[in-house]
Amino acid sequence: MVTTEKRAAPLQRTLREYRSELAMLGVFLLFFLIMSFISPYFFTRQNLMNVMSQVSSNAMLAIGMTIVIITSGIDLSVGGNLGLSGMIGCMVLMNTQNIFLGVMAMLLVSSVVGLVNGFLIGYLKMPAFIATLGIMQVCRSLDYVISNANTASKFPEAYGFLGKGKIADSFPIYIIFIIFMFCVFIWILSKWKFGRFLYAIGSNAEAARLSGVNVKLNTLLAYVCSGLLCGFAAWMMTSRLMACDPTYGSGNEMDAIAAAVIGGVSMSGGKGKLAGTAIGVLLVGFLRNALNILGVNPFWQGSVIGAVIIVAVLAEKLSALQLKK
Amino acid sequence: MADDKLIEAKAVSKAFAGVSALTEVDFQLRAGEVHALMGENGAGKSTLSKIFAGVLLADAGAVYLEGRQVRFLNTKEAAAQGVTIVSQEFSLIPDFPVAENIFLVDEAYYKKGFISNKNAMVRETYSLLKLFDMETYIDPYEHVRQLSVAQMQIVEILKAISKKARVIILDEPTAALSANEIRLLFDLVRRLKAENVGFIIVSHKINEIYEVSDRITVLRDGRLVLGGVKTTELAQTDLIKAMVGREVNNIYGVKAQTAQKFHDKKVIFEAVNICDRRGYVNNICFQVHEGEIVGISGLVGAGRTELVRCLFGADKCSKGEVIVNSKPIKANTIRKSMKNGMGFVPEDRKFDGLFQELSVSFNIAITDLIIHTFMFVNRKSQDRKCMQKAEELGIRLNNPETPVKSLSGGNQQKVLLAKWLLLEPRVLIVDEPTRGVDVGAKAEIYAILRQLAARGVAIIIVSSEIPEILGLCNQILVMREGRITGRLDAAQAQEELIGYYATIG
Repeated sequence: MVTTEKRAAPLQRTLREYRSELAMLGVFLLFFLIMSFISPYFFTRQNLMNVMSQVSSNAMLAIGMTIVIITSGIDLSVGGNLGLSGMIGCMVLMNTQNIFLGVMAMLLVSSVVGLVNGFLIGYLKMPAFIATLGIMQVCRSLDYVISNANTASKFPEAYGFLGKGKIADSFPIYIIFIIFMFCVFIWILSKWKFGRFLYAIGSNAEAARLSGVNVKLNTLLAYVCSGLLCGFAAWMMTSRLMACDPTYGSGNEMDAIAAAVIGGVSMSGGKGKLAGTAIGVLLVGFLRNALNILGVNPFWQGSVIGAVIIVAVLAEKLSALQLKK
Repeated sequence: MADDKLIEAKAVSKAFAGVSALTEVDFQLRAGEVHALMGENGAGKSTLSKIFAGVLLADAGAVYLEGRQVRFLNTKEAAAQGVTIVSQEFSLIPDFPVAENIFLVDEAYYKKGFISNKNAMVRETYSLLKLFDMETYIDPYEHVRQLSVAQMQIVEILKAISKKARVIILDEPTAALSANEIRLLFDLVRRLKAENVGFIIVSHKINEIYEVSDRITVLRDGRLVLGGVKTTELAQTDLIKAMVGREVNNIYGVKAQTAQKFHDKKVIFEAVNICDRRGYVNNICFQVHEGEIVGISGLVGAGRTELVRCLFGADKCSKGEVIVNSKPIKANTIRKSMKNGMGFVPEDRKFDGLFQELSVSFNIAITDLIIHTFMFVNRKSQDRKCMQKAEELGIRLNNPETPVKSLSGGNQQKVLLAKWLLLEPRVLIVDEPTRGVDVGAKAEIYAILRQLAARGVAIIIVSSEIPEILGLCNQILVMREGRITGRLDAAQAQEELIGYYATIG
C-alpha cells in the first residue's frame, strides 16, 4: 500500500532546496566577473575592502530583517534603532571612556527597542508595518533629543578594534564578525526549535498556535533579535568611524529590506534563507560600487537598485509558476 | 437533439508539466439539467470544470457552447458568454455589501460608466432575491463578511444569474453547509433548472448527487469512466465502484458498536459544564471511555466547532473544566492539553491546520518539537520519525521535504492526523475528519480512527455527514444552539432521530 520511492540523492536535494539562492549566487558571480573585466579597479583589494565596510552595517540589519520577514512581519525601525542605540551607547562611551559599558548600553537599548516592537506586534496584535513605523519615528526623534543634534566622538582608541582592527595586519576583524553572525543565525533558523517556529508562524500563525506554538512569545523574540542586531550594526559603524552622528542609520531599513527580498525571502512569510540575504547584501553593495566606478550619475543608483529588486522578485515568481505547471 | 446541448467537451486533454490530468474526455450538459461530475481527488473533475469556466485552457480537444466552438482565455470571457463557476474560494469582496458584490463589474449600474449607482444595485438585488423567495434570508445591504457560507454561495449564484449565466458550475457546493442550507441551495438550483439553466455539480457527497442530479459523469485518473448516465439508472454501489475503480462495500465498515460495551472501561475524558465566552457553547457535559468514539452532530452553527475548540484550549472557556485521565485541567491552554495527552485536528485544513509551503516532515514534526525538543532540532531523526508515521498512515510520498500543499486533500488530512499520533495521544479530537476528501481516502481515514480507538484512544469526532457519524461513533451527541439536545447510543441511532434532535428536539 505504501510506495516510498527511493529518496533523491542528498546533493540533488540540497540543490533543489537552495535553488533560488544558487540562482542569485550565479547572477552575482556573473556580475562580479563582468565588472572585473570592465574595470581594472573593481577587483582590487582596496575596492573590495571599501565595499565590505560599506555593507557591514546593512549586513547586520538584513539578518534581523530576514528573521522578522520570515514571521511575515517587517521591521521599519531598524535604521532608527541603529541611530538611537548607537547614539546612547556612544554618549555613555564618551562620558565614561569605558568600552564595555558603552557597548552594553548600545546592545541593551537596541534590544529594548526590539522588545517594544515585539510586544506591540506579538502581544497587542498591531500590524508590524504600523508598529515599527511608529517606533522608527520615535527612535529618530529621541536620537536628536538625546544628542541635541551633536556628534559624539572622542572615544578611547581601543574602541576601533571591531571596525578597524585587522588580524595579522591584513584581514579586517569586522568581516570575520559578519561571517560569524551570519553563521550563528543560519544555525538558529535551521537547527533551533525557535528558528523552525518562526517559519511556522510566518507560514500559518493559527496552525502554529493550534499545534501548541507560543506565537506571541516567539514573535516577540524575533523582533528582539532584529533589535539586538541593530545594536551590533551600530557598534560596527561607530567603531569604524570613531564617531556617532544623529543621522546614522536613516533610510537604512530600505537597503535591509532590499537585501532580504533580492535574496529570495518572501514578504508573505514562511519562506527564505539567510544565505540568500547574504548574497542580497553583497549584490546591493557591489552594484552601488560598480555604478560609482563606471561613473554613472549617482542619481541613477536608486533606479538600478529598484529595477534589480523587481527583476529578482519577478524571476522568482515566474520560476514558481513554471514549477507549478 | 443536438441543439439543446448547452456546453460540450470533445476529446479534451490537459497536462501539467507532462503529467496528464485529462485524457480525451467527452462531456455534454443539456439545457435545464443538473449534471454531476464525480470522481476521486485528482480524477480531473476540477480541471475539466476550470476549462469550461476559462480558468485553464485545454491542450487538445474542443469546447462547444450551444454548438459553437469556444476558447475562453479567462473567466471574464466565459462569464460574458454565460458560463460561470462558483467555487470554494469565493470571488466575493468581504467588506462590500451584497448588492455591490453582485453588480460589481456590471457597467449598467455605473452612471456615466464610473459612478456607482448603489440604489439601483440594491433595488435589483432585492427583486432578484424576491424572485427566489429569499428576500428575508439575505439583506442586500449586509456586508458579505457577515454572511454564512451558504448565504455567500447563494450570492455567488445570484451574481451569476444577474449576468444571464446559462451554465453554472458548482464546485463542492455543500461542503460547508448544514442540511437546511443544502435544501435551500437545491431549491434554488431546481428553480433555475426550470428556466433552462444548466448546472454542473462537482461533489463527493453521493447522497446529495442522487437527490439533485439528472445525469452523472464519472472521471478516474483523467479518463472518462461513465459518461452521462441517468442518475435513476445508476446504482450507488456501481457509482462508487466506477469512482474508486474497485469494489468498496461499505466505506464506513461495520456499524459501530453500542456505547454500553464501554461503560465498564475507564473514563479517559470528561467535559464538565463547559461554557464558552461568546455564548455559543452552553453547559456541555459528557464522558468518553477508553477506546470509545463519540460523535458530535448538529447543524452548522450549533456550536460544535466552538465546543471542541474550548475542550482543547484553542478558545478560552468561561466556565467548566476538562478532566483527562481523572486529572482536572484548570484554565485550559493548548499546551496544557497537549501535555495531558490531547490532540486536535481542526476543521479547516488550509487556514487552521497546515503550513502550506513548508515540508510534510515539518508539518508532522511540529507537535513533537513542542513537547520533546528543548532547543536544537535533529533534522535526520525528525525526518525518520515523520516518514515512519507517514508510512503507517499510508501517506504516499517520495521525499519528506515535499511541500504539504502539493498533496491531495486526503493525504493532507492524514498529515494532520500523523502530527498528533506522533505524541501518542490519549484523547484525539477531530473536527470534520473527511471534508473535501475522496471516497478512497475516506475509508482509509475511518480505518485509522478505528485502529486508534482499538488501541484505547478516546476519540471525539465532529461531523456534518450523518452517515459518517452513524458508521463510526459508539455514542452520538446532537447539539442545537450550544446545548446537547440528544444523546444517542449507536444501537438506537438513526438519521431521522439525529435530524429531529438537531432541529426541534
